Amino acid sequence: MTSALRSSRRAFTWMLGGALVAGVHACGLSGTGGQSITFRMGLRTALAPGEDTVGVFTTDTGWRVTLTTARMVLGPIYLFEKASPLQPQALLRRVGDWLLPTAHAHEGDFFSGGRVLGEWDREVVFELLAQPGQARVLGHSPGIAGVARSMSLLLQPPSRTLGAEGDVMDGRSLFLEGVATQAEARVPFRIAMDFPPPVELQRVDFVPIQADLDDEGLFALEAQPHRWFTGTRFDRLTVPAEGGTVEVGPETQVHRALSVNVRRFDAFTGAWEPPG
Amino acid sequence: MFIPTLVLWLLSASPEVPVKPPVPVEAAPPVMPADVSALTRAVHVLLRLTIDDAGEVSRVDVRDSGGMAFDRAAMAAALRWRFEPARRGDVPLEVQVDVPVTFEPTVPSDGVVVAPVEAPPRDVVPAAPEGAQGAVPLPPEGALADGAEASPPRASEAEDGTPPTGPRPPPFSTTVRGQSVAPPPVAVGDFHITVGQLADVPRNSATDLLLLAPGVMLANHGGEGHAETLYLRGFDAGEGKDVEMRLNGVPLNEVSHAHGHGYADTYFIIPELVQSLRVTEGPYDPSQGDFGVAGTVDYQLGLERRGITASASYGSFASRRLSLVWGPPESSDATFVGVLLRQGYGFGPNRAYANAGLMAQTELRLGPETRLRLFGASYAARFSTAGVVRETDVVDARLPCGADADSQFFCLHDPNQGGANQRHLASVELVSRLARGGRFVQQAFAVSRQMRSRENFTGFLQDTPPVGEAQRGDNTEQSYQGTTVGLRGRYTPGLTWAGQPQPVELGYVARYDSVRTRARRLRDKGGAPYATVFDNQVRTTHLGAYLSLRGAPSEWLTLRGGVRVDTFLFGVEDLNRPESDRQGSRIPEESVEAYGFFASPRASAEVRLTPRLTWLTSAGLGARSSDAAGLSDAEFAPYARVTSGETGLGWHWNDDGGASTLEVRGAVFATRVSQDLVFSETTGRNQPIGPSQRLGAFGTARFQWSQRLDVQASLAWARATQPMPGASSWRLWDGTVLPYIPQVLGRVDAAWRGTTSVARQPVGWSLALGHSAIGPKPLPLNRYSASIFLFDVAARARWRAVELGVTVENLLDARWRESEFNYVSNFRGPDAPASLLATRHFSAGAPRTVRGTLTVYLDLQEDRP
Repeated sequence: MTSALRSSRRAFTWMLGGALVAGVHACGLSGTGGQSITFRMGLRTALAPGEDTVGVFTTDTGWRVTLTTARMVLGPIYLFEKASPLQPQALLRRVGDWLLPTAHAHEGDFFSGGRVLGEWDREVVFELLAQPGQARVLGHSPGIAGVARSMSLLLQPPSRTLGAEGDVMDGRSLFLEGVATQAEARVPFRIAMDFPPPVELQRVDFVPIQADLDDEGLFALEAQPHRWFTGTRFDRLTVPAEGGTVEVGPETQVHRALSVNVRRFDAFTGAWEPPG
Repeated sequence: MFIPTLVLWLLSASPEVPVKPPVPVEAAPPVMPADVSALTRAVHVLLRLTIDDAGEVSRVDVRDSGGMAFDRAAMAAALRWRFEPARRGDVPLEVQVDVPVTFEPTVPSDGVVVAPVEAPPRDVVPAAPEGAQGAVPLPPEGALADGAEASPPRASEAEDGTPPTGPRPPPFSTTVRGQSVAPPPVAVGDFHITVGQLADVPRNSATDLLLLAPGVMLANHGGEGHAETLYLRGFDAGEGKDVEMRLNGVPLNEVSHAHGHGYADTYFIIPELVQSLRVTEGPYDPSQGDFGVAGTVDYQLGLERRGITASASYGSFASRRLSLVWGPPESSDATFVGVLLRQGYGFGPNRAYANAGLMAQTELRLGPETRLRLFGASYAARFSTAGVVRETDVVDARLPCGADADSQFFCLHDPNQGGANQRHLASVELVSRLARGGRFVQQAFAVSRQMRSRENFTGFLQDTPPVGEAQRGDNTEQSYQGTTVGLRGRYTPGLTWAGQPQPVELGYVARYDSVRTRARRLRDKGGAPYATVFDNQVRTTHLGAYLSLRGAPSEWLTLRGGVRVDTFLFGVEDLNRPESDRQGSRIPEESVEAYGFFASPRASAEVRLTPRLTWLTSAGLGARSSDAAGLSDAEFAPYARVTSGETGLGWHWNDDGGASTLEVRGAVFATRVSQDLVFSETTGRNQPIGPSQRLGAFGTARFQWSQRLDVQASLAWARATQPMPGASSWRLWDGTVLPYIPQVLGRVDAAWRGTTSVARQPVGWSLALGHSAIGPKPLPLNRYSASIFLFDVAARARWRAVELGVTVENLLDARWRESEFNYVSNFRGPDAPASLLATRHFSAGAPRTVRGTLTVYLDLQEDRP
């Protein structure tokens, strides 16, 4: 190849490359709409109101609960653009909805969260008491810039894709251990819970959030274990005579209450922390 | 059309014993060199033939050169001529004869037949003794031409200078077939591309030849055997939905194809047999038909090199390629046979392929003004494909391959992807030259086609499984089988109107398709079909006709215009209806019929600013027919309407001898489509999105120097947007940018040939480069893809009949994404929670590929004595 040809080729390539770079920089964005972002997804355990220790709270039934072990399989997590229908609304809006209710094509109150703005598409074993007050950052997550107003997540048995990380769960979805006390009563308890398919029974839907998603911010999903124990009646558990730990089975009221509460929309919240 | 003309003027020599001149027995005409650009004026070559006493042409010398390409073409033809030998009395005699050969441009047409033309007379000279050939002086050309009647030429034996006497032989003239000269372009973006020397640039298939047109990008997400996705002029033309494809006039777009309406697979075309292609960007020629939204591509086949050419290649990833093409020396380049076998493992897992193709054509002369061309092709292919992979899975090394980056990049999600193709094609074309230069062309064709492909774009997402069952998988089997028969024709009366020759052309097309098109979902385990997406028996009749007018009201202005009318009748038998509805059980079939009609005016104005510089402005309407699968009963079938305009300049230069040419073109264009289609990953085919528009520009240049250097470079820019609802149609730059369509494309093709001497043996060599530069493609969410720069190189060396070559594609071993998409998928498994966020997916482009080739040329024209 002659030097002239080589020079021509090089010149053309440089010219083209320059044009490409200039073109991209001139336009900046491609103009296809929306904005792709990358943000961090994290997990955190919320403090109960008035408490300064994670995993310590008082239930509405008057039991003082101190969790010593709390871990669960959690994920994927989806952030939606539409607001949760369970989100508290202004009085005027509620009156308006009452006067002019939304028509639905079928029975029931179907909710579609609309476009997904962000997600953590994997499962993770979350130790709720491991990093008190700190968010465990799972990693970077793709997303779309905009305000996410609701969230959902899945609770499920550990799948094969979790690998060794899931071994600690021994095939269960949620594992809690602690002590519940009330007056003189003391109930050491251990709960292992499953959330088998179908997926409708594994999903925590309609969690209200307000997160203005942008690059490099942190969305922290907060578990609210103190709300999981709403209505639990530890007094209905039978403590072994020898004083051991109560294995809370699915036939118990505490188990049933937990099973319902953990999947309620207020069992979790989310908070957005802009990049600092 | 070029007109090489050949006449021998044969005279006896001796005054004592008259010499009976040689009489031509076989004189197949020269073939216009394929690797020269269209002529603008005649090129003359003067040959001196030595005709031995057996009547064979034993030697050919060039007395006056017309350029290397023309010299070689004329010599190659002359070596095949046979004569009744000259005789003195009864004794055969070796003589020398001067023969002029003229290559001329002709009036624009497709024409390939040239009328007999008498050439000026020339000498017949009995040969001088060995070693003294050429010693006999010949009269100057002008004197011979002008004085043939008055001054009979001399014979060398007439040493006393006395003019020979004897009977004057009748001049013989011959009808020669050259490559048709390109008709004048209807737009700046109307390219008649002669492959020629640029055939040396590495190309995987005939589809890659499209890169010779500016603004073209090819991508393939389906493997070797799957049609390429074509990006042209800001269009994502899919696998053919927006580009009309023809092969020797036979339409290749397949109506209502399961993979997409207009699917056109050109992988079956044998690249060695592609002589030229016409790429008309935009709908500016009335002859452009259905699918000509972004443009039209017409492959023209031919084999310039006569004899047998056998080629065997072996290279990376166990790729093997065997090709055999031949054309009898006695026939023109329109008669040939080609066989091509390809096989390989592919550049990553699940990319194996094997295919075989055959193409054959015979041209029969039914008279001096008429020829019949019979063409047939058969093709069978089987291929696997890796399909697309999800970017996040590649980054996190979750794919079932090695954990290293390369293994993940070339890995796959679903091994049950691939397909098979069968195609059989036949065509009969009758071309007649009429009085006063008119043309009458009739063509009948038939195509039989079968295809099956399996692709999985989304993993486990689309299925609504029975209660209690997991997702069964999204692998989609698309099958298509059917036949196409049709007629095409055009008529150019040999009229002269208002001083304008051939101002009118009429053309028509009639096409009938009967096809079964079906898509089914396949189980991930075992691959059994579990659901039918659609299943249609489609019958369509397409009738189209056009009228084209041309006139030059002044010396510097030429106007062209015409109108095209197309009608479609669709008959669809939907075989996938429910077995019951609200009123009870029913037959699960339903018939739909629809009719469509559209008229498309097209016009262009050519202003000759200087003898070399032309300003060309074109405008036209075009259309894409409806996908029969989306029609309702008894409706007036909707169709996509495209409105396009273009203006630009063309400049052409060539040196006096015609050995060097330079052509430069540049234009800006705007296009608006009423109903566009974009790829949908959920159905695996194109779906309507509403109107779209494009604004763009391109520039291209091609320089050819003798037969040594051929360089073509192009740069194109296009911006495709979807207009905001209610926006003015004049605001072509406003709107949401359509993703995936490259905005800046550059391409360089260069080939350099020469000869050298090795161990005192002449060795021919060639070097070639192909360079593609693909600018950042807009991706959803305001992102751009990475730029792509690919370099392909080739080197060849030929000694006598043997040629060795090596090609390296993707020389820098770039990791590039051939196609990219953005959508929701779940490849983690049937029971894994799905990702709901649209994310990037891509199909990997080929890494560096090295291939060695051994080619053997038999019956070489150049090696004849």
